[in-house]
Amino acid sequence: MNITQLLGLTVRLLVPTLLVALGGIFSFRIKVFPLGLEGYMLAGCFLAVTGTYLFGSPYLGMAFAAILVMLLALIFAFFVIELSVNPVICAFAINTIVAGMTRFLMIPVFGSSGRIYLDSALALPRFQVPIIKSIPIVADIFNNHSALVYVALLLPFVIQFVYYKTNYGLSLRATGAYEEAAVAVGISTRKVRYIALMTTGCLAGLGGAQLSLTANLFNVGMTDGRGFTALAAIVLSAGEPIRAFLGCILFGLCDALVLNLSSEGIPIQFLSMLPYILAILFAVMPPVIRKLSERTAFSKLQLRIRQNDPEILASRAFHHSVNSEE
Amino acid sequence: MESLVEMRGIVKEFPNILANDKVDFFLDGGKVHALVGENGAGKTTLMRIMFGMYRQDEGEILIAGKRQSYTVAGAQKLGIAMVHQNFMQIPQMSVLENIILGHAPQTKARGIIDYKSARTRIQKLLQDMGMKLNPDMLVQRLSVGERQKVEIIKALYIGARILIFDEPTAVLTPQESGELFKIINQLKSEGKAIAYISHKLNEVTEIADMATVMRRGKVVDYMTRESGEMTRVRLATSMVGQDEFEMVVSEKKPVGAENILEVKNLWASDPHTQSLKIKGLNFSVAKGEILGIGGVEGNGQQELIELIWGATKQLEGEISLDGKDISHTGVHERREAGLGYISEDRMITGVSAEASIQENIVGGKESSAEFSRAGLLRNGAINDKTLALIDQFDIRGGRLNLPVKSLSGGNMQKVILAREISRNPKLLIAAHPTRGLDIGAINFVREQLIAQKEKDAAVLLITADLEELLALSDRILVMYEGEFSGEVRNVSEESIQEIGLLMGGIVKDAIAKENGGKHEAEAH
Repeated sequence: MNITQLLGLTVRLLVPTLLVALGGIFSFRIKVFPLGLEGYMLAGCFLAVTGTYLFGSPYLGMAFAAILVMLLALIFAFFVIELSVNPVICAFAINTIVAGMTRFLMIPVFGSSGRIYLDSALALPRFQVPIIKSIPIVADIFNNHSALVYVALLLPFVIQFVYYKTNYGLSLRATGAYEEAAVAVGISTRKVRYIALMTTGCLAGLGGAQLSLTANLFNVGMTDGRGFTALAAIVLSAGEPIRAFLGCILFGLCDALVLNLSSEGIPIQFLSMLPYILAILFAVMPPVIRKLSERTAFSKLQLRIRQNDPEILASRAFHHSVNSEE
Repeated sequence: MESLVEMRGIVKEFPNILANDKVDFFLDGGKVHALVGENGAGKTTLMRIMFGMYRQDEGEILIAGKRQSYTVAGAQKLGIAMVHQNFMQIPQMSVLENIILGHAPQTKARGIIDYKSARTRIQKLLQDMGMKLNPDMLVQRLSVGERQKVEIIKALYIGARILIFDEPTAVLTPQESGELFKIINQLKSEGKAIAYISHKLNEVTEIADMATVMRRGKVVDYMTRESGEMTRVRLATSMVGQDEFEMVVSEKKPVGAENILEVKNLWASDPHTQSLKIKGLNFSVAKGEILGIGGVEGNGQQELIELIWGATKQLEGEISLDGKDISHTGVHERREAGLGYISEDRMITGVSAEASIQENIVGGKESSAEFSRAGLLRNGAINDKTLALIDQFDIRGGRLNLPVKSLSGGNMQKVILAREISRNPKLLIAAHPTRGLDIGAINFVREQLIAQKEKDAAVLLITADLEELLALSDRILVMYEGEFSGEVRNVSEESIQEIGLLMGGIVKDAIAKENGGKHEAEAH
């Protein structure tokens, strides 16, 4: 497999995680740590396949997944905002319930367990994009994807705009940074929080839908930790959509490498670890670097003081008047 | 003339306290009406009712003659704004974003902020008020005085015609206060109605057109400037009342010879920004001395305390306690060496609020032979000790197993005092020890500090309250931007002016500076 194919695969693989991560940052921004992403995503996978099966259209399946997962997020929001339930406990409940429910519901809905395939007629249509398809290398990477891929690739920029240029974005940032101050200027932070938490559900549901519909199947536990990968991207980006995008590209690239190299005899277990090792590295590096640079700066400053650096001595305005020891 | 705001017969009761008892108050356009009284007199409660934060139990509010009942959002629509003591601002956001927050102008596309028109309006307001502020600066980079200006512009931006200032100068230098008064006069000339809460009498006589004095929830006096009745003496008398509580004052002593705490050439920086916070301090506290450290908050007092009790590490310099070098030891060792600490933040570093009284009393000493044996707590001994201290320090409502958070502020402070003082410290650091306490508790704390000094301990008192600084200190050092701008040795009532100048970084005696300059030249 050549590099362009690898990148094409990366684009396909990163999109579900990207959607989930972009959803999660809405929660992250209002200081509700989105631990339930894995559950939302898995619910999205299952509901998309179910919706497609029931309504006979992958797009309706997607909408079905997005709306129902948004309602699931509404329940979460109600518990967290109105009943002050600890969001961590609530998120774990969602993850556990969704894992169990999807396994359980497969039998009554599809009459099978473990794995279900959708009819190939219900596969997501892929698009030939007018101009892109005729540019040699770019076509290999960006052409011939399904609709949501293109939406997802634009979404980080849209969200960036929402955050920094719209009224809702300003209120959202204010609510997350200092809720009391937001309340004091008359912002309905309750509404802001509901919208944020429900957006998380909606986008994470779409991410799940994209995952299952691209493969045209659902199997038990198919998200396989992707929700947590998205969470890693959110934490690394500190809630900035475009940086989360970059994180997802990195994780997608790792996934693509795994798929590629596993056919060449390298143990897949090691390769599968790669994205997580990278995630840990990325999470650990910034504080380590900060600590080190602070320590260096401290020693430098210390040395300058010990050597009576004139600039430092001159920073004192009164030294002479009192401080000379009696 | 009809008043812009009229509050009639306001009653507000909180559990245990009648905060407002049939209070009348009014505001007129183009006038400053001061609301004067001590801490706990009910001023802030009354203003919060006006601002819609609380609802009165009885009484009515008329805005421009119309009876109104509203919440904070409603108050803003009526044109009422409050400049809070703790600014309601988001530090991570720019000045502009903070100002338009909740009231952002929108472009034709709904929901999208029209930054351009917002900027134009804000710049106009800044210009009108003669303020120099960069709208794109992050609020966390502003000084306290500048943040207050942001708060004022915020109020004007939403078209406030009624402004409530809650002790606005508490955190300002004298210079910044001067600027604030200019701004208030400007607002006045534009016809705004201004309520000015304060207990600083100089300010009231300088800025106010009329003053209402409150004591224990009641209005006790009203006077106007026009009538010439508004004098400091009258304000003070009605504020404190006949049944005046005598504030405890320490008897001044000359500085002794034997130093308990010695600090030499101490330097420290902010770990994140690397800016210097403490710049080469030298000082000592003698046996039986209360050394007061004054200054506007944020000039390095906090950093200095943290260095002494061992929370942070100095860049350079030496700290010794009773002749023992403690510069590189941890907090526990310093405490064992005889350091006691009454922290500025009771709830966070002072006590463990969720823990019980006895756990707070033994905290840090739980491994000592007195309280434990073979790794097991001696609960009998701990309980006995706690009961003895509850009694000795008159901790009201205190009993075993009671979480400290359910005590009142004053009694919580007594728990801290009991813990620190029962360990017989050689040096007691008292950081803002009476902040937020009522007069009875304040006097109790003061008596305890004086008792320590009389027992020949050294006391390092850090406070932003000038009255307290003067009442307790034998000697005062004033901090300004990480240095001591001056020392006051013979503390008396008259020192207040000198200290005021020093707080603003002005050294009265320029000659001393010149001499010092030579000093330094010689040192090199």
